[in-house]
This record gives sequence, structure tokens and C-alpha cells, in this order.
Amino acid sequence: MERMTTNPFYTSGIPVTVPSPLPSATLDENFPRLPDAQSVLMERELRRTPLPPHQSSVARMRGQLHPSTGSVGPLCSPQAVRFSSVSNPEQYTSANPYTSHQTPSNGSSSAMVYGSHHEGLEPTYTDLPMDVGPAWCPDHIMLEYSDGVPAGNNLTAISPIASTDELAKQTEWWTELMNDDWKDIADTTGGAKAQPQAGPPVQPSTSVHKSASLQIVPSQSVEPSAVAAPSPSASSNTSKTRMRWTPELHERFVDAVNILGGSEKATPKGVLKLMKADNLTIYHVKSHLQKYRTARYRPELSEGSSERLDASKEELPSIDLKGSFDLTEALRLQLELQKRLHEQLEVQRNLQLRIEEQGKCLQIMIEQQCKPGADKVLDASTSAEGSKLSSDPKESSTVKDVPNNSQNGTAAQAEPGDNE
Amino acid sequence: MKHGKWHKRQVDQSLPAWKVEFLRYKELKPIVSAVSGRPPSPAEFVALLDAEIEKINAFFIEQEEFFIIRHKELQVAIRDALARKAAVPESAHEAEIAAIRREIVNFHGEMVLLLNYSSVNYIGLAKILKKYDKRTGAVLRLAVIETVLAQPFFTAEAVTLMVRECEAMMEAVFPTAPGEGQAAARRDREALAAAEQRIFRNTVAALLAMEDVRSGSSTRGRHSLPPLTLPDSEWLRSF
Repeated sequence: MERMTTNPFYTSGIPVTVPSPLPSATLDENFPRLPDAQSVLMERELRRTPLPPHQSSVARMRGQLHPSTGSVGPLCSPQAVRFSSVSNPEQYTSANPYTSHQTPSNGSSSAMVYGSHHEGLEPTYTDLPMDVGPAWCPDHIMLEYSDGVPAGNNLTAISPIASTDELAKQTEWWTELMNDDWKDIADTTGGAKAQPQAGPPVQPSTSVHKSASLQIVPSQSVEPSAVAAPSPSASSNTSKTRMRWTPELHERFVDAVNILGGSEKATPKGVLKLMKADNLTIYHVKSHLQKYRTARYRPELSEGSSERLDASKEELPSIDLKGSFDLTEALRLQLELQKRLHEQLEVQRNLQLRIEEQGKCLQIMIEQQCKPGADKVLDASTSAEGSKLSSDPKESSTVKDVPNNSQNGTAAQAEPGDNE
Repeated sequence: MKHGKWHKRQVDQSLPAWKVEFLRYKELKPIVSAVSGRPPSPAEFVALLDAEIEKINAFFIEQEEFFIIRHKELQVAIRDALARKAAVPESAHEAEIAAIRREIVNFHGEMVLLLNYSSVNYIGLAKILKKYDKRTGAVLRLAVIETVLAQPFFTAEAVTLMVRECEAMMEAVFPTAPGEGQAAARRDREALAAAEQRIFRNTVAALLAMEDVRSGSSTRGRHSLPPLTLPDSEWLRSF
């Protein structure tokens, strides 16, 4: 679709999170459209005929696709994660994920934000650049689940500490769940589970169907938040925007302060000048300098969470962990416990990421089944085929053409490293 | 209201200054789940969540800033203490190192608790979204949760890195064998007990709470986390 290439937000390789040209004005003008009849109407329409309206919005929605960080692409290839709404990590705002989806055009596009990420993957985009095409996450999912065999070994690679039994158990549990899902999909696409309100006969689930009709206008955060470092992709900076400091930036700050004679002598203006960092305002430097001074000379006040001052005044029922240990051992114990918690949090976070990635890919797959070209009977294995899609995105309806044996061929491509 | 209880417990057990910074799950849930009256429109709801996310991010990023400063100071302190080692009496050096060790462990603990804060908020957001979709039939959840996954408070790269670096620092400054004698240990214990105890208690609480929230969902599905059983949860509960 030619339309796509005129979309200023969509190019093949460039992240779409465009910072500066996203003034709140655009958002305001789109925002009030949400509650109106148009979106409701579109929603109902889509429910009945899910496909054609998709295609019109696909072009616009393609604009939302932008690469995510490696950490969000466990199962999908890095290119596939382009379809994720995960915004560029430098954006650091909650505003941007929503605002970046605002193409400065019409109301319906502004409405079709969330669910449409998935719709962006419909195979009608014959003119998609090749680098987007092969990025079918279902491709990789199939590599793991095509035979219903849990790819436990892949999943356990998600975390560097996944060698413990507990973690392996958790990932296995999840793998089985995923397998059940795939079986469900296979069943329903081949079968005749129709939802009452669905038009097409193949409707695996209400929620999936409804994803096609999602009409949400993203709300906009109050103000754009600044990107941290002196990176050129930062949005425009006002003194009110939130600054995200990085260790590197802080290094430069400390160097500047030291040049100026120390934290007491250094002035915000002087530091700002020395640092030569884009998007850093004197306001940011001033606030940071204040925190820095506090940390150096009054460490007990240095953090919001620090309780050294009032802690000693409290009567705490003492945990007698230090009874039989000496101090060092007690600290060791505390550290061990903290490491455990951290480890669990890491594993949990990775799982959460993967769950959502999987969910998204599943939705895409399911929507695939609803394509007009898919009313030829698809048996379980072919319906699950992502390989043909990945290798030949230019086919207008690829699903039905997927050969059986490519399933095995692509399985060989799965690498545990891809899942990280 | 099961998650509401869990969430509240997490908040109550957190560092006092943090309590107000958590997701307002208790307030959001009735907005979504109220049987009478209408649930918010998607736009309204997303606006609400946006405000919460903004607040959570702001708190997280500010804590992160403090941590970055503190991290650097710690590194400088270690470097200086080690550099001064030959020039100062051993007891003075030992005291310095002991203080540094304490600081490392507490620092590590606070950062991990911040990560736990993020986790609690994420889980709360995920639950709220699930409830909203269930109630209204919308399909907000996936899209919104994806944006949440990209938020600074969730990705938390810098904090995670600093946590790992702390662990490395510990290797550098911990003795291979237990150092202090009993008397000194008892004295020191009083002095630092309060701050460490709170961090310690919070860590224990957080681990146990994680086990609780992951003990098996009534609505287990592909979006649920697997159950978690900590091998020594009995021991943890004894604290």
C-alpha cells in the first residue's frame, strides 16, 4: 500500500517513536474524538467484518512499529519485535508509547492504536520491506511448539541464573501452558467454534476477535518527559520535564564538579557549562547537585527511603539474626537473602516479558486465521506455519500456501540465544 | 479482593517513605469493577493508568538518581579505603571496611526493594487491566501492558546493573573468614540494627509475598506467572 510510505512515521528501519513532533496539540485534537460515535461505529463494523477495515488502518498502524530492546524479544526475532509497541528505550516516558502512535492525520487512525499492533502483521502488506517481513514471531514460536514438544531448553535460557530447579520448573510450567494454547488454536482454526457475534466462522475467542475492533484513543500524559542523556533523540526539554540520570551522565557531572573544586564550590551554571550535555538544563543540574551534596556530607539524609535518622528511634522487634553470628556473617546472610529476592524478581520479569510477547504473537496468529484466504481448510500444522510467511511476505495470502515440510526446516533455525 | 489484600500487604511492609508511591490499586479496582454505574471509557481508564504510571516512573527515576549518586560514592570510598590501607592503623582500616561492607549490603538491599516496588506495581497494573477487559469486553490489556513493559520502572536497566555491581563489590571487601570477635559484633549490632532490620524484614517479606502472589491463580491462563515455591520458605517465615 502506497499510503504506508507516505506515512511520516513509518520507515523500514527507523524507530517510530518520534519525539519532538508530538506536541500535545496533536493529541488534544485527536483525543476528543474518542468518545464520539465514529469510533463506536467503527468498532461495531469491525466486529462484523474484521478484515477490510484492518487493512485500511494497517498502513497507518505500521507506523507504530518500532524496534524494541533485545530484552523484549525473547521468542520473536529482533525484527519481529518491531511489531511490539515497546517504545524505544531512550524515551523513558509513559507518554511516548501512546503519543508515538499518533499519526498526525485522521481520527480513526488515532483510535486504532492498541490492538492494531497485531494487525500490522497482516500479510496484505505486500510492499513491506523485506526486513520487516521475515520477522514473523510465529515463525519462532512454531519452531518451539510445532510438535507440541515443550521447548523447555529454550525457555530456560531466558535468565542467566535459570539453572536452578525452581526456575526450570517455572519455565516448564509456562511452556506447558503455551503448548495448551497452541493446541487450542489448532483446534479452533480447524474446527467450527464460532462466537455468537462473529461473522466469519472461525473465531477462536471473543477477546481475540475483539482485538481487531479495538478502538482506543491513547490518553496523553500531562507533559512530555525529557529523555535522560545528551542523546539527540531526546524530546524538547523544559525545566518541568523529568530528567533521567544515567551512570555515565553522572560521571560527567562528577568530573565537572571536581574540575570546579568540589561539590561545595561548584555552581550549577559552571557544571552545566562544563558538562556540555544536550537537553540538560540548569534546573536539572541544580537539583542533582543538591542530591549530590546531601549524599556526600549527610548520607543519612541522602535518600527518600533512607531511615537512618529515625530508625534508631523506633522500637523494632528485633530479628535476632545477629544473635549467633558476628557482624560479617549477618551481613552475608542479609546479602544472600537480597540476592535471592533479586534473582526471583529477574526471573519473574523475564517471564512477564515473554508472556506478553507470546500473547501478542498468539493474537497475530489467530488473526491470521481469520483472513479470507484462510477459508481453505487448514490443518493444525499448516495453520501454525510461520515459515512461509517469513520467507515470502509478498504473498497476499500466505497461510494457505504454507508447505508442511518447512516446519521441520525452520525448526533447525531455532537457537537458544534468540530467546534472550 | 484477593490481590487487593496482597497489594496492601506489600505496601504496608514497604519502606515507610515509599508507601504513598505505590500504584493505587485499592482505588483503581472499584472504579473498574463496580457493578453499578458504568466503568470508565477506555480513554478515561487509560488516562487514569497513565497518571499512575507517570507517578510510579517519577518516583522510580528519582530513587534511581539517588542510587546512581550513592553507587559512585561507594566506589570512590572503596577505592580510597583500599588505597589508604597501608597508611593507616589496621583497626582504622578495618573499621572503614566494615562500614563500607554495611553500606554495600544496605545499598544493595534498597535497590532490590526498589525493584520489588516495580514488580508490585507491574503486577497490580496487569491485574487491573485484566479486570477492565473482563468487565468491559475491551481489549486494552495487551496493548497497555506492552507499553508498561517499556517503562523505566519496569525495565530498570541501571538499577539492575548496580545491583550486580554491588554483588561484585562485596567480593572485593568481604573477608574470606569471619572477622570480628563477639564483643565487637554485639556492639556493632546495636548500632546498625535498625536500618538493616528494616531492609532485611522487607526483603523477607517481599520474598514471601512473591510466593504468595504466585501460589496459584484462580484464573490461571497464558498470562499468569507460574507458581513459585521457595525452597526455604519455612525458614523465611520464621523471621
